[in-house]
Amino acid sequence: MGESRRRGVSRREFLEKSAAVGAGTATMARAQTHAQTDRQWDHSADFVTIGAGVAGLAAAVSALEHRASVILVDENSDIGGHGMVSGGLVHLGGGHSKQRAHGVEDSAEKVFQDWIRPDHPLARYNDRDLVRAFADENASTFEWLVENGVDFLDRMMGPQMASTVPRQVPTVQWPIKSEIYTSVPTRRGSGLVRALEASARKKGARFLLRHKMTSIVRESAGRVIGITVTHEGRTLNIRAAKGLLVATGGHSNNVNLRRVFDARLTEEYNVAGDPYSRKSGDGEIAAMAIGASLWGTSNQTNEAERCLRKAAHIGCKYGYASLHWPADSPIFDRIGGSGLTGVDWANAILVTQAGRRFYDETAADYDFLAAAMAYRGESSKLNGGGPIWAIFDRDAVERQEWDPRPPNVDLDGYFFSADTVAELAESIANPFQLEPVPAAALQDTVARYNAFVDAGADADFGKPAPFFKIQTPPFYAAWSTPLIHDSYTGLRTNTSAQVMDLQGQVIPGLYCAGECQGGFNQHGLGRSLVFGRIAGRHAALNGGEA
Amino acid sequence: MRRRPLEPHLTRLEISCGTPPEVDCGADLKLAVNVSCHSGCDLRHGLVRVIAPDGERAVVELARHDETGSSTEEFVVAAPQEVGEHSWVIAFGNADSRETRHEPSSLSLRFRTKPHRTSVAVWGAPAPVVVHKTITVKVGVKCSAGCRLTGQVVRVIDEAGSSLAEGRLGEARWPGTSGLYVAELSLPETNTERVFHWSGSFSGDGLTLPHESASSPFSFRTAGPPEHTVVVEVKERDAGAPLEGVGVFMGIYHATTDARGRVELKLPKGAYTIVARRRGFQGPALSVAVDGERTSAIPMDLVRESNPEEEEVWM
Repeated sequence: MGESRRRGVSRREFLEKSAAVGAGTATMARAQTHAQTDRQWDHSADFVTIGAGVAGLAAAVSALEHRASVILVDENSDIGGHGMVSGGLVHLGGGHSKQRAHGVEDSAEKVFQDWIRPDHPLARYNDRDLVRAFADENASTFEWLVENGVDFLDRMMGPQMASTVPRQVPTVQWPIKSEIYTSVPTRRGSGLVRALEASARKKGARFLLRHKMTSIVRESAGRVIGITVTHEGRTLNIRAAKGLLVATGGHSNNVNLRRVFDARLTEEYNVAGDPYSRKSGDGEIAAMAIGASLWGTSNQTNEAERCLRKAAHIGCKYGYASLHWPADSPIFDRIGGSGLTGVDWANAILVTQAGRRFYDETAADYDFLAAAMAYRGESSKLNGGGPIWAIFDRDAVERQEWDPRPPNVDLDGYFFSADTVAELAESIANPFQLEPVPAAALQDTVARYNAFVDAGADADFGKPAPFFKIQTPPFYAAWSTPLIHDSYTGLRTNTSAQVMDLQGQVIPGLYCAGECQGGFNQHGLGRSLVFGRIAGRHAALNGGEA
Repeated sequence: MRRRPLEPHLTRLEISCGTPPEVDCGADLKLAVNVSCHSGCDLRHGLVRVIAPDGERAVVELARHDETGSSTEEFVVAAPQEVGEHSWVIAFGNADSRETRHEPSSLSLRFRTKPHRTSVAVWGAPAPVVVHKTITVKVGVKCSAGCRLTGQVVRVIDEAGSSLAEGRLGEARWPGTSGLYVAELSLPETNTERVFHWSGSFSGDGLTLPHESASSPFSFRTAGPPEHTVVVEVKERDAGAPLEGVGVFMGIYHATTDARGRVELKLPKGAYTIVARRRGFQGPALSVAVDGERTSAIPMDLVRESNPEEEEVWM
């Protein structure tokens, strides 16, 4: 049962309480509210989603099924958001048909118990009200996806994360090449979002792409009634009669907002999914501007999920894990380079912008990441660790069978080659490299490492495999700075996905689902789908009231 | 009727494409000059002179004209070959006609010349070096300005700073590099088993243009002569098939398996840990004592890892 429902807060009570609040966020909220009467609406629907990604699409289909008219607004030129370039692993259980077909015994209660486990850092900080609601709708949401045309592979993966039984089901990659942005090797999320898009369109949804939300419109009386957007230089007003969903996909690409949770995450850290999914935090910011609260923020920094990751593809700007951008991607002009992949870290060392090693290169845990982001003694750079460069030689390229040329590498600041190590240091130029890499320092670092190879032991950082020297020209420097993954916190909602303020009161008419929803640290698609579906249904049936 | 004397038009000279404050000795300075007339006259065919203290370096004609004035095409002048501070004059004059007289104009061009930077790479020592054996290493030198370095002397220096070997850089650039000239040097034999820390060195003295010296440290390990041969045979455990391309490491000795999954390592007696590495496979290390000839190959099994890309999938 949702908090506001449990507490029995009626609309009348809510309005009275709202009127009585006189400080803090509520004051800010009042300052940003607008009168409905003097506003002309350019578009109108019962239910409007800000974002046409996984949560927005699920909510749209759900609302349409309950006879609401729907508009999906997205600033991107296509739908899908982060889900479009995801692996398509739908984390749902509860005993659905695919689990049963694979002999997996599961139940809603087991889902609930797994995701509130005190012994697991991904579960112990979760809001148990949200997990209960999530668990209760796991199995039905899976069957609902199938009914809406989502095609799943015939396999169950896991158990992973806090789950104790297999619950991850991969979707089938969308088969139309021209309608996907990355495919290799595991980008199956396109199958999920394209299927939901097709279902939503068939049911009558309207998509307003290249429409960027600029503010949420809240009545002076307290109800959210729509949004303002910009489109081709014009400002438009879009009315949401029954509900408005914030489904903007998280905040990890907003340097200021992400630093609220971890001050080290300065501008040099790129983000998984960028530049297709922007994850700019604009949904959270707009909602906070009208009084919304964040929730469950400990989940963002518990170092249990993959919030931060070592670069998996090097010599490119976007080197996140299995998200490998092929040169035939329609947005490759914004990618710049696919990256050198399959790195065996025995073949390279990692150095800071000062040309010094900082950790065992074969490690990838949070201690490694902390070392990568550590203070370097530079007064101009107190937060963040600056660029990290992989340094290797021609022999390494041959062992790895790499072709260190475009489109595999990005020569515009992310990959360099030179005839000597000293020349390599002088060649490195990148917007985040505040000062040139000192040539003498890099040369000393490489020579010292090579001596460790001779000695058979890394006396500085205990790298277990100092097998190969870096000595044969030409030499290479490849961008290997860690990346930020997803958001694991966001707006506070009740179990109906209604956004709540700092006083714990529902903001009528406003919903949130997906990566920008706080309180529940389960990575990705499962919770986005469940709470998106809940939000669309609740808005259609209840008109945004508690 | 007496003719009125011509009023001279003022002119203004600007460098539209200039040179950085510091350049390599002898470098090409790329310049372009714009001269504008106070009255907007077309000054094409007028001359711009680049004058150094020791004489004129270039005379260039104003070739284009637009609303900003008349300008030269981009032209190149060689910087002095000596290191130092320089002040040249760029001057405009000699564009008078019967109707119009133009005042000359000029400005100074100040810059510094610096020696060319050089850098060194050393590679190719065996791993390990067998004591009492001579070895060769390659010493490569790169000039930042791309100078041809053929015939220049390079040396290998020991920990005490003594020169152990010298050679001359060869004709061709090293394959895959933009301008690395390489010499192969024979190094004197060593008689102790340890890690040596020497350096490759280039003085830069033998060139017409000034060059900075450079050096690069390198190391190598010496070991006793290999007494025994060990054969390791690597298979994929489940398929039972030989695995090619597996790196087999026994301490500082390593080799890569052939199509039969075999490597042959020659090494001194001792206790070793055998590590077999290939991407996508894993298997335990194996401890062995090498104290005599082994007649049979040491078997190692690797198992295929689950698809590393699948392991990394998110969402």
